[in-house]
Amino acid sequence: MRNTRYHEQVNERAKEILNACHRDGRATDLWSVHALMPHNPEPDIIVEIILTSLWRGSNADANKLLGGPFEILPAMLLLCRWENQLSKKAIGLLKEFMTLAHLERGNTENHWLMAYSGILLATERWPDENYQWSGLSSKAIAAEAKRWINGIINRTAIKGHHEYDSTGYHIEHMTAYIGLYEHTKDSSLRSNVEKMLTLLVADMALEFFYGAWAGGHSREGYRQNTWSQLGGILPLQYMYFGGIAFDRINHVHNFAIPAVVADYRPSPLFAEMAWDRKTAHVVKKTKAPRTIYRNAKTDATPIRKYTYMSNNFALGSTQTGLPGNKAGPIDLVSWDLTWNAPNHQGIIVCNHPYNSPDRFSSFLNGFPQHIGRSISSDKPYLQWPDRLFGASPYEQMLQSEGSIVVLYDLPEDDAHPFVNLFLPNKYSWLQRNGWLFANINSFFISLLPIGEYEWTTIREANNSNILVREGDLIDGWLLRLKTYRPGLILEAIEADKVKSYESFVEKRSYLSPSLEEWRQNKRLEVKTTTGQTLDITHGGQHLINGKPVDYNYDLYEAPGVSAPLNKGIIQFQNKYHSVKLDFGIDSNQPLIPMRVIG
Amino acid sequence: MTDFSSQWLVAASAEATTGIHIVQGPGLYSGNPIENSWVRVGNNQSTGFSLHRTQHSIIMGANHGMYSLNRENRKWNQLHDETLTEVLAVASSSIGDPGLIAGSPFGVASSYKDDLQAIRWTFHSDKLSPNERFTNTVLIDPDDHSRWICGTEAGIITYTDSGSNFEHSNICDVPVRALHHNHEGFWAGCDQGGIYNSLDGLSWKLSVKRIEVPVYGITSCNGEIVAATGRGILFGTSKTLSNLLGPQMLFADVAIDPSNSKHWLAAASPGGLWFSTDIGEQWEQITPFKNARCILPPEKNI
Repeated sequence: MRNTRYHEQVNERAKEILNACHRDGRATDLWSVHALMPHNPEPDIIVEIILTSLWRGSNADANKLLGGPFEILPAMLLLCRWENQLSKKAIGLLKEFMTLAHLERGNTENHWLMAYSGILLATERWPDENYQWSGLSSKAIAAEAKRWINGIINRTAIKGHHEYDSTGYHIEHMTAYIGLYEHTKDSSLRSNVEKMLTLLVADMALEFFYGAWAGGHSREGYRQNTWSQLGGILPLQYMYFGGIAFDRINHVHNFAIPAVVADYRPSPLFAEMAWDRKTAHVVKKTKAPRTIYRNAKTDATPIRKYTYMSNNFALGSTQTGLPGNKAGPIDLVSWDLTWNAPNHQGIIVCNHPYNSPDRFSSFLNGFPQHIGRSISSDKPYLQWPDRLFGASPYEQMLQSEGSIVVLYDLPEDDAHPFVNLFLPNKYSWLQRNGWLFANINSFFISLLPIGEYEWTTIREANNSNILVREGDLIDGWLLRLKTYRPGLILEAIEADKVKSYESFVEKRSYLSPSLEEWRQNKRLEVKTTTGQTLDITHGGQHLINGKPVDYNYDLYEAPGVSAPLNKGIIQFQNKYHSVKLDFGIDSNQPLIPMRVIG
Repeated sequence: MTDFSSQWLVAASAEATTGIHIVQGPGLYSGNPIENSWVRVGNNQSTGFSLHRTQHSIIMGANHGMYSLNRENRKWNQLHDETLTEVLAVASSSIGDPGLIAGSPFGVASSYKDDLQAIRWTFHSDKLSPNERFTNTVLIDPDDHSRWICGTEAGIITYTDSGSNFEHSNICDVPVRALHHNHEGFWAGCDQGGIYNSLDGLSWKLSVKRIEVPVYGITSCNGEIVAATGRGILFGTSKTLSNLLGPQMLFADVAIDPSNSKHWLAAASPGGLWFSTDIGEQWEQITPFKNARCILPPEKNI
């Protein structure tokens, strides 16, 4: 697709999003106000939005306010884009907030990025101002912000993204970088930011599956990971990749609006990659180790993602690299099977609902003796026994193309000694020889739950404080695998690769593995219907067809991608387009240390 | 304007739920528990974890960084850079400018000034394991300011030569959250075992008896130590220890009035601020605090 045609299409979709946001009356906060600005709003309306967002309705002086990343970034993006249309009062309020309020960075990678981006833009806009929350000169404040932003970009180009592939938080990264790309006065930083944006768009494109983001995610929680399409990133996926019908709910998200209104456009290459379903292929990614700073005698190792992008389904898994038996990031989703279907009907996932308070204190600084109660007061669902997301330190997996083995070795004192397996409830499941089968027409699913299980339902809703009528958050079958060594074998196969559904059922159910070796020695050998052998020992070797799996993936491995690890030189190409990135990183210089949750 | 040297300072919050992922909310208050008069200090809204007094400043280690409060003009200054955050412990060494040492979950760092007069940080713990890096408390050896004794999640590690080297002690694989020094030497409070004593910071022995609750803070007065624990307050000597005193809650810190050793102030998060005027026999909750994490007692008579 030519650039101009692609840009026209993106512009059209951006207009759809902005118009829907405005028409639906959703342009009411500091993020979404960008959809209101083209309609020449009354100055008082904008002042009211600023006061509501930054002053939170109080009459306090600006120096009594507290601002975090979710205020700092949108405040400056509003000013930078629309200053010519803002009233003096609005500009004055934004300046007061950025210079007088107490501004803090937060505690995750996306928080720091938003904070440092907004703060840098403020120092560029008001270089001679006194920033009372810091006490440092604006030059020193800007220098710190640039060191961190350039530093985290270079880390990502060398080691992979820390807060990787998050349906919930990718948008915060995208919007911050797009804001910098559009507004910073530092051309060198802008160039680095543009390359970083290309990586983030590529991350989305490589595992884009009919509007869903397939595979493992650093953060995908909040009881929505059985949704087919979820998270604040959906508007940008729709805008950049198109291909699906506009959805006025999914495709309008306030965090995305400053990015939707911006002029940044990726190469059309990535839209073509996102929709390239011609040939089944494997996408491999290396991502930076998780930030685990306690309850660990060794550091986390790099994340290795493997996602099989077939024509009609995607199966993705993660080697999470977590150190030891206490580290379990709370909204990590390590694997799932995804296909094109409505919410709850296009996904299979399982999870051990590990709930030791130690998992919180592994990356949060509260006293371990308190933290289980304090975090679960903020987010009670993080400790619920039905949880379908959140890492378990006892989970290990091995995948080859459309087949996966997921195993758990649970200690006897675990508070939730079982695994939750979610299955969609729209399909007619078939049981043969312990295996469960589903015919999705275009492809077939087989799975073997390991261990005794109870087939029940799971239904969770936003309004669960009163009465759950419809499961708007989760709705499906729940198979609770109640054993200390539960697990799952799953094989999915395209319908056109086998003679018939019945023949697949017969072949798959006939090839049942021996589970005795798993129970006795933590080893499981599984033969697939395609002739492969997956051989995994929990805590030991991973073999495919007798050969050890080499998890030393490049930064990206996929058709048309060249991205060696530790080089900072990455190339994406197809028949029509080529994008080459050289981050110009001096390998003799140390990388910025990662001092925030990522 | 009241001099900070005569005031109690408390990192605390009046709201029950003020922080996300941390029970305590923002605020530094100065005041006097007898009159129960407390004033929010300045506009800094960080959540404080540690307080430290220098000649010209009050230093606050906080959830998102480190700040200094000028004792004269009452202005706050940022002391962290892009490498320092979640500062659990602050100490001063006479070596270097400004000579601040920080302990955080990411390790131990010392400070210097860059060309723009911003404080920057050099980490000395990167070669250690995560648990060894995670530093809850820092004590500068009063006889050798190049020695920093640090309580970590993996025991006590002593940095020597101003952070160039480090030594492990015989307390290892247990979180240490409290360190103190008095005429009897060094004191350490652990998650398991209780209170330990040492003459050199390297070789420690259990003091008196095992305590079944974690220890979060230790101070001393008139030859007795007073400790904040997971279920009340303890006091004693190297030979005896009291039973747990006060309400049964996790006290993160305890401080003694230097001008009246019967007056103790204890901080709990959650639980707030508690005051005793009779060496811990009876306690009264100080309103309006719901959460309190650390206390800096006055320097002179109040």
